[in-house]
Amino acid sequence: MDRNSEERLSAFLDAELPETGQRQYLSQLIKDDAARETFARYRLIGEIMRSDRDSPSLLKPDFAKAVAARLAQEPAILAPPRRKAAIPQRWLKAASGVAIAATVAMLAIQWGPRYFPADETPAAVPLTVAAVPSPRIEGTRWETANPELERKLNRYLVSHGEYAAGNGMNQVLPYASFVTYDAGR
Amino acid sequence: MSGLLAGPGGVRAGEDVHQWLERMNRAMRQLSYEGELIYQHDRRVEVLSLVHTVGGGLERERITSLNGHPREVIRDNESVTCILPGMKAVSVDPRRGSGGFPSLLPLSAEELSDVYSLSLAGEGRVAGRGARILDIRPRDRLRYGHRLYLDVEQGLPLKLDMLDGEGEPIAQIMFSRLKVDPGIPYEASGPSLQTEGYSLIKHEKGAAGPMEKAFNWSFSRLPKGFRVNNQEVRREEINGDWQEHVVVTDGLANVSVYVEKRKAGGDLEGPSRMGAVSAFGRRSGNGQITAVGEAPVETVRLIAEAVEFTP
Repeated sequence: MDRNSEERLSAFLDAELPETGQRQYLSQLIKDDAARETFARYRLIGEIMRSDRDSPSLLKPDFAKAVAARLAQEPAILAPPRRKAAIPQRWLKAASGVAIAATVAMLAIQWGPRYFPADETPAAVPLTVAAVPSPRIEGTRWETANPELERKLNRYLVSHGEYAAGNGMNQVLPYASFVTYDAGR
Repeated sequence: MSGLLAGPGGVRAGEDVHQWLERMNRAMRQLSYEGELIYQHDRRVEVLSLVHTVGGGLERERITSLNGHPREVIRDNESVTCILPGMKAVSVDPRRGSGGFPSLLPLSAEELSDVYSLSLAGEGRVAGRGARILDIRPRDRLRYGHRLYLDVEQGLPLKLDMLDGEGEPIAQIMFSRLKVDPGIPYEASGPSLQTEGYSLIKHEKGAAGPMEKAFNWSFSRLPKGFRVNNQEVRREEINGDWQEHVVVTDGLANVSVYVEKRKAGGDLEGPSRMGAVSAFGRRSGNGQITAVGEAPVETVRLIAEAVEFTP
């Protein structure tokens, strides 16, 4: 990945591209397996950096063990990564001095690509799913500051998804909104 | 039917549109598949995993967020289960009504044509698969447009663009990876998040027999093209209070309307929004009306304001 592509990806992940740029980048992401793989890896790294500062305890206790087990099973991966994964500087700054995040992030850099879409190993994706919650990441959220009301609106959303008619993807939308709902911001 | 479905350029594509929608409806219900979805809205990108299994007369689907807070929804013929690690809770909501999965009406070209114009719009590629593009354009500003990318081989929707009045995307949801495989076992769509030690929130069905009606109300005038989807108003007891729920639809866009007793502090007044979902709440006497759905805020407001209480 050249420097220009890296910067574009970084800007995309940080929502710094203009809207047309976002759409173009997303189209590229859909078509390009390598770009998608890198996107997934950067995303993981970014989330590990952020999650550490807020609640390292949210890391699943057996994450390190599971990664170690994978390492033991596949020693070949200890060879230099297929692509050098440059971490955007802003993420490095966020993680400075945080040993555990750095360790996990290094593992992620070496192992990340194998855990993402290009890797068809069935057990791979759930491992990263549970391991990298990120309370800090700015997610979707109802436009209200009232937690009781938020809970109520979320409950409406689930119930709405349950009963609403519609085509397949449309049916997924209310649930997508709910599962990506960021209660911790 | 043919006259109703003429495309924008006068091309009569009705037959094809109809067939593609039929294929999609069938594929959604009958295939087992798993994959990863990218959901983009408000300049944000979320990644979700989806597993849908069919076997032995049972359907089950699991949607998990792969970034941000881990959170999961599993729905099957019996219930909708939400796993909420943030609250260390599992919420189980039995499917009310007639049951079955999913409780949706198949999309019908005839039904949509009054308020949308439907046309086939070329071909594309999503997640490495060939796709037929189906444009569903609103005839007014009360609903969003949709562009569906349907898998050429299987008919599954690979991508959905939800578009505003200017044709600009409001939300996009698409597979970045999809595997259709009849061999996916039923267990694959079960919970993936650990729930040990979590509390169980169970929403029981209301008591059998005639339910007490919380309010007498009806819709005075719904926005063009919208109608009540189920004549039946679902009534449910939540924490000792009755709530009524009805779904209003134009055949594609859906808005849920909730009517209940007003509560201090926890009710929505005015508009709110989350991604492509809008909400509008208002009070009327001691009643609270909240409308929630994938439609412009204005439409959701009109629907909430169409609720009229009668003595």
